[in-house]
Amino acid sequence: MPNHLTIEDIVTGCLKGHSNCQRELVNRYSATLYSVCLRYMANESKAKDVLQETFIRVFKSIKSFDINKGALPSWMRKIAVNQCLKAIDKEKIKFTSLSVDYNNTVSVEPSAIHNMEAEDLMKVIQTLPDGYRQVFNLSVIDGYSHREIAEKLGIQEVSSRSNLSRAKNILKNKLMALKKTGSWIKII
Amino acid sequence: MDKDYIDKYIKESLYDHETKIDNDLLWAAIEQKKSRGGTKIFGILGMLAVLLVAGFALLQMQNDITINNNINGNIYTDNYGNSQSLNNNTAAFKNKANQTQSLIVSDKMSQAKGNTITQLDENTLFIESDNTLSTTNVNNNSTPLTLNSNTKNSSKKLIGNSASLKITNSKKNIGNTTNNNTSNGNTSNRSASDSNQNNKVGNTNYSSNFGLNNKSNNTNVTTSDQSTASGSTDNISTTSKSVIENAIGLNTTSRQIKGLDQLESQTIFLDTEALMFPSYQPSDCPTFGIKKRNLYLQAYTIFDFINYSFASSPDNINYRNERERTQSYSPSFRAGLQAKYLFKNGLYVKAGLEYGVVRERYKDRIVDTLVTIEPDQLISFFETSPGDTTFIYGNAPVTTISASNWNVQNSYKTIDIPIMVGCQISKGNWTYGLELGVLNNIRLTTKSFILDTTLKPRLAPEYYKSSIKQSLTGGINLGYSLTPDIKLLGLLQFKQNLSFINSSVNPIDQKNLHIGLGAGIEYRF
Repeated sequence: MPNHLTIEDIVTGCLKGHSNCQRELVNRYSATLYSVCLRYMANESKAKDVLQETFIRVFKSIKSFDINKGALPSWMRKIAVNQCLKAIDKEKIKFTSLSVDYNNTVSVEPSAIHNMEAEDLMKVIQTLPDGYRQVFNLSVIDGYSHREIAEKLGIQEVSSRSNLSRAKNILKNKLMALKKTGSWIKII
Repeated sequence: MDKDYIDKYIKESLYDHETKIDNDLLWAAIEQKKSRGGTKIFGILGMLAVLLVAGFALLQMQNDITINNNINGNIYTDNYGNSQSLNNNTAAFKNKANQTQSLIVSDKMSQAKGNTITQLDENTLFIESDNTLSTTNVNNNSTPLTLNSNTKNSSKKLIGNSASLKITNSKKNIGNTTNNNTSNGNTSNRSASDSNQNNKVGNTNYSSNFGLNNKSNNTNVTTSDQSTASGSTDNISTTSKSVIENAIGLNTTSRQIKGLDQLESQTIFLDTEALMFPSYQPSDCPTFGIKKRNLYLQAYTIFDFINYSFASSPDNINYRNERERTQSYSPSFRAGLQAKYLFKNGLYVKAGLEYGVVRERYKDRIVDTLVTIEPDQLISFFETSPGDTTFIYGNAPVTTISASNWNVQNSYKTIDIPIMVGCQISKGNWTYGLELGVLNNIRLTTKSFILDTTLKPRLAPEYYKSSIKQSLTGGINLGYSLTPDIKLLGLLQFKQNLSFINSSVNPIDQKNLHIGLGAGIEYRF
């Protein structure tokens, strides 16, 4: 697929259901959206599943995308976040007792604490408990307000604030235990 | 600690962070999910189509009942002596009216008393040498008019020889309105002395049983129908000579009809051509413009249970075991349209187009454990004094455990042309059929995750053929007539692949056996 295609071209092609444009959309944004999914799902296989669902949802809903109202990546990111939350919610109902079987656990013992790359930071975030991780991701990284988070997760605003506070504390402790030198020590 | 700075740092690090993913694999999985959505739509549309046909069938049934209630026992023949079913609409004999002369037996005839019909002989009326209709054969030269029962359309016929008079009743439609003086189980007897004055045949002891083995209460032609299930007997009045003669335009001095009693509100169309030309032989006449009614269209859906059969050389036994372990049954279905031609002897052939989806569940769990020695690992830390912690770092093993669960619904789609032969028998509204045939595969498409030979899950379309030639199919079916034209079907069918569905690349040979239970609709043209 030629790379000279603009976003408008791709969107127009997707609106017409052209498979090659859809493929181009996947090629361009899969890495970013996969990262979003990984942050929320904390499990590679589930993140891949949600990513697939995200793209299918994008293809179906692209007619509702207004290029004048916002950028395509942001719009797709919102869809990805919603799909993640939906998947987590569904999982809680269905697989509460089977969560162990469906977990893709990644543990680093003891993990590297220097040279903290984004990948490593993500792994630390992934170790947060589900509820805390969702609130942390929504609030700190994706910039949702507590009111929006409360609506999305069906919880009180107060709960959202307290979950975020706990999430940050847990994260701080983890980072303190992992970080030795560099900017992180300075920050802490 | 500047918490806002941490938040900002994390956001900057992760907001636009990209994690590499295999786009080819991702696209294949998206395609698979998209097509699964299409299959769902197809299934829903199929079900809607079946429901529509069923609704149409019910509507038709309602219409038939309405029409039947408006028909009061009509009798007619066409120009070729072919009987016409009156069961559906009166328009049928309106169309014939310009070719036939109608004999209206009015209420006046029911007042004609005298002639008696008691147990008319074996469904037979006779046309005497002088063209008199009689209930008996006096001079042995008479032409028999026979009242037959056509089991197929449940009609009764009077079949003439040289002068063909066929009277067709639909037991369903010719109604009880003609049976004005019926009392249940009675036979209408009239004395010979009360006969028509012009009756040239001494009919004192002549009797004829028309033998209209109607199972319904509604018969307008029969007399003394001893086999009538409900015991209802209808009467045929002795016709008024003049009325008949005037109506059919024959010699008024030489024509009589005996044994007809109380034909009320009935219309008889006589084959005047045949009457005028006695040598006319109404053998198997062509049925110009008449529906053949032996061509059917079937729409059906079958839900299949599938037995997956794997075979391999001993070298690949481990791989085969893994494949068998990771693949399991998932509900599958077939749906199709077939045209059926039914022969008179009950044999039939049918052919059409069938779409099938074979599903299987692929489930696997892959656990990877990776141990590496990494430098600068935190080995221990201790508090040397309050508020002062010492950390000890060095080389240490780092264990990374990852587990992936694969739970995928695989699908194989087939498009086949079924060609089948079978036979069916009918009993009342029910038909029972047995059939066998072949399914000629046009196309097989697969988008399935399976373990490849390295025991890694992947999409492997090259593991399967794009066409699998023939499959053997057959089964039994049960039909219930909702209307004369529409039948509800229940099916029990099997389908066995005759050749392997895998390609030569795939070291595992696979054949599937489908056993399915289905339902459908059959429409008769």
